Amino acid sequence: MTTVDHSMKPDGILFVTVTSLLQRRGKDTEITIRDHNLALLSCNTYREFHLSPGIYEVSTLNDSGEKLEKIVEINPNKTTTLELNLKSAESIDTHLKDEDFQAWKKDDVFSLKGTSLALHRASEGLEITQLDNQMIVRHTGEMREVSTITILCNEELQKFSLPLSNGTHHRSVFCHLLPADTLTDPGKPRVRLSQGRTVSSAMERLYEGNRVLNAAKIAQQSLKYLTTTVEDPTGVLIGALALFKTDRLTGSIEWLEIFNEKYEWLPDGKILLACLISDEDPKRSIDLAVAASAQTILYRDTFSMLLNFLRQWPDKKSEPRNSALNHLGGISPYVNWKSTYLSYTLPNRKLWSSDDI
Amino acid sequence: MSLIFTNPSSQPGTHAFVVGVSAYKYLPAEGEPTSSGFGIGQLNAAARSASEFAAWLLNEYHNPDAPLRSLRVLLSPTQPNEQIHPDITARLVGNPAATLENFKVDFEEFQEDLGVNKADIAIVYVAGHGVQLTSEGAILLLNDFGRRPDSGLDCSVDIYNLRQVLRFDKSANTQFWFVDTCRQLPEIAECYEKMEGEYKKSIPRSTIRKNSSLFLSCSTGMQAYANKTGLTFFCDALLHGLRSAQAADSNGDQGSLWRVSSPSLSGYLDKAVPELAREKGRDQYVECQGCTSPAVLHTYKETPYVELHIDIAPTTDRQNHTHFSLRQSGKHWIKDHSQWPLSTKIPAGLYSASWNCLHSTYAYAQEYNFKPPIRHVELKK
Repeated sequence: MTTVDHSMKPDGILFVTVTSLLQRRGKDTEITIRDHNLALLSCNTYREFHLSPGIYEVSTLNDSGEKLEKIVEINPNKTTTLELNLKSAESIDTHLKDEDFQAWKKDDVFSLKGTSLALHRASEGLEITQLDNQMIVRHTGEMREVSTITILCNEELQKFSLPLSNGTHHRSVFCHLLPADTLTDPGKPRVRLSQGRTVSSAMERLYEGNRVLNAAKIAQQSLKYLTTTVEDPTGVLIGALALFKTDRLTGSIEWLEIFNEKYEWLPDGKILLACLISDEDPKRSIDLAVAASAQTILYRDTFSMLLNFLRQWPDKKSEPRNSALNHLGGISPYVNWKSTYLSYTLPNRKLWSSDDI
Repeated sequence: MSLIFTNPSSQPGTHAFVVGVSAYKYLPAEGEPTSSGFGIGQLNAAARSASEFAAWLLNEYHNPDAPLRSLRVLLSPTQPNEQIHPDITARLVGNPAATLENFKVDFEEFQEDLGVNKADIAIVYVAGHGVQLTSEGAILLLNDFGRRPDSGLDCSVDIYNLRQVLRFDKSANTQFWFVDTCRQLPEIAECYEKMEGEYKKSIPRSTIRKNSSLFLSCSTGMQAYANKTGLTFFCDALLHGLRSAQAADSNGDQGSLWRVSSPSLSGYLDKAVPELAREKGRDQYVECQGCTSPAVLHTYKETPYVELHIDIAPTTDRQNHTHFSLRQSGKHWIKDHSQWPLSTKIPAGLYSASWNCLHSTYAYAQEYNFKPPIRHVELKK
C-alpha cells in the first residue's frame, strides 16, 4: 500500500490487479501513477494507493512491451478497482502440429500479403509452414551453427540469421518471418521470435521498442531460468544484450562463461564476453572475437559490437584481427540495420549460386 | 573563429559542438559527373540544418542545471543557395569551414572545456556525408574529403571513436550525440567500409560509465533528404519535437515537470523521423543508443500547451450536442460550449469532459489525456 498524496478531502483508494505471464506472474510489474498535471506520483510494485479525489493516469507495460494507459477517477471514501490484463494474444503458432511443417525446398514460393518470397537456401534441419501471412520456421535436429535462411524478395537475395535452437522450451525451435507490410515500420522482411517463447519474446519486443532497461529487468530474473529450467539460448541472448547495454552484465560473467561452453555454436555470447574482459584479459578477448567472426552471428547488435571491437583493436597489424575485419567489412555495407537479427542483402548476383551463401 | 558563444563560469554548464557539411571541395558540383570514384557529390541541407540546431541552442535551449556555456560551430554550406540561420551567420567570423584542420582544433578545445566539471553536459551535432559502419557509429566526411584521391577516408572523422573517447575520459558525465549522416549506397560504402576515419583518438581505458546518448540518423540513399524547409528530415523532426514538447515527458520535479530526456527523445525520434521520411516517399530511420538513463537535455519553463480540436461525429449531429464542459482539477477550461467545431489551446494534462446530448436524458462524460502538441477529439452519441 502506498499513500501518494494528501489533502483536506478524505482519500479514496485505488486497487490495481495485474494479470501477466511475466515478472513473477505480474507480482513484480511496476505500476505508474500520474496526477492531473501528468506529474509522476509513484512508480513501484504496490497495488493499493491512497489518493486525493480526482483523476489519475495509471500506466504499465504489457507482456508485449507496449505501454498501457488508463484514466481512473478517485472519489472520497471509495475504493476504485482497476483490472489490468497484460497478457499477449495467443501466439499464432500455438496449435501447429508436426505434420503442418515441411522440409524446405529450393524455389518454394511463399506469398505473404502480396509479397512473394522464394526460398533460395536454408540451414539443414529447417522446416517451414505458412500461417496468417507469416512464414513460420522451426528447427529439427542438433544445432551445429546459427540457422539461416536465404530468400529472394523484390529481386534481392536476403540472408537472415534465425533465433532457433534445440532447447527444451517447446517453442524455442520456432520463429517467424514477417513480410514488410505487416510491420508498423515497413521495410525489408524481418524475423521475430515466436510469441510462444513468452519471456524471450517480451524481451525482444522491449528491446526493439527502445525499452532496453525494461528488457534488462526481465533478463535479470530469467538468465538462469532460460538456460537451465527452460532452455532457450537464442532467446535469452537478447536479455544478455539488454544487460550489457545497461552495464549490468558484468555480474553475470560466470553465467556467460557457462553459456559459451554449453552453446559453442552460438557466437554472440563470445562477443559479449570479449567486450567485457578486454581490459583484464586482452589476449583472450581478441581470441574470442576472432573465433566469433568465423561463425554465423545471430544478432545485429553483437555483429556491430564485434565490428567496433575489431576496428578499435590497438594492434592494427594483427593478422587474425585484419582477416576477421576484412570478412565482416564485406558484409557490413549490406546489413539491414533496422533488423534485430542479423540480416543482409547478398551483394553479387554471381555469388548467388555459391556454396558460401 | 568557431567559438560563437561563451559564458565562462565555474558552475556546471553545457558545451556544444555543431558541424554541418554540405559543400565538399573535392567532390563534383551538382550536375557534374562523379569522377571521384566515391559516387557522391554536394549536399544542400546539412549545413543549414546544423545552423538551425545551433540557433536553437543559442536562443531556446533551457537547462537550469547546465546553462549554455560554450557553442562552437563549423559550417560548409553549398553556395549560393543554402541559407544559414542569420543568428549564426552574424556570429561567425574568420574561416568556420568544416575542414579536418578546423575540426581537430575545435574538438581539442571542446574536450578541454568539458574537462572542467563532471556535471557539465556535452552536446555534439554533426551532419553531412557519412558512412554507417555499425549500429553505434558513423564516419563523417568533412569539407576537404577526397583531396588526395585513392587515400581512403582522408579528411573524415570517426564519430564512434570520438564518442568512446568522451565516454571514457574525465569529461562531462552527460553527453548527447546527434549524428545526421546519409548512409552511402552499399556498393560505394564497400570501397571504404574496412577503413577508419582519419581523425580519431586513443580511447582511455577506464571503468567510468557515463550517460552518453547517441541519436544516429540513417538514410539508405545518397542524399540527406531535405524538406521544403531546407532542413534534413532528422533535423526537422528533432527541432519540431523540442519546440512542440512532443519529444518531452513529464517526469521532472514540480519546478520543471516537462523535460526532454534521453528515453523520451529516443521514443519520439524513433517514430517521427521514419514518419516524416515516409510522407515524402523516403526511407529513413534513427538508431538510438545509450538512452537508458534519464539524462535531461532540455526543460520547459511552463507546462506545454496542446492545440485541441473538438468536433461532433457525424457533423450533421452537431446541433444535438450542447453544454460541453472541460474541467481539470475543479477548474473549468471550457464551460457550456455548444458551437462546433471547437479549437482552443489548453495546458497538457488529464481532463474530465461532460456534455449533453438531445437524444439522451443523461449527461455524457469522458476523461482525456491531452499531450502536446495537437489532439483531435470526436464526440459521438
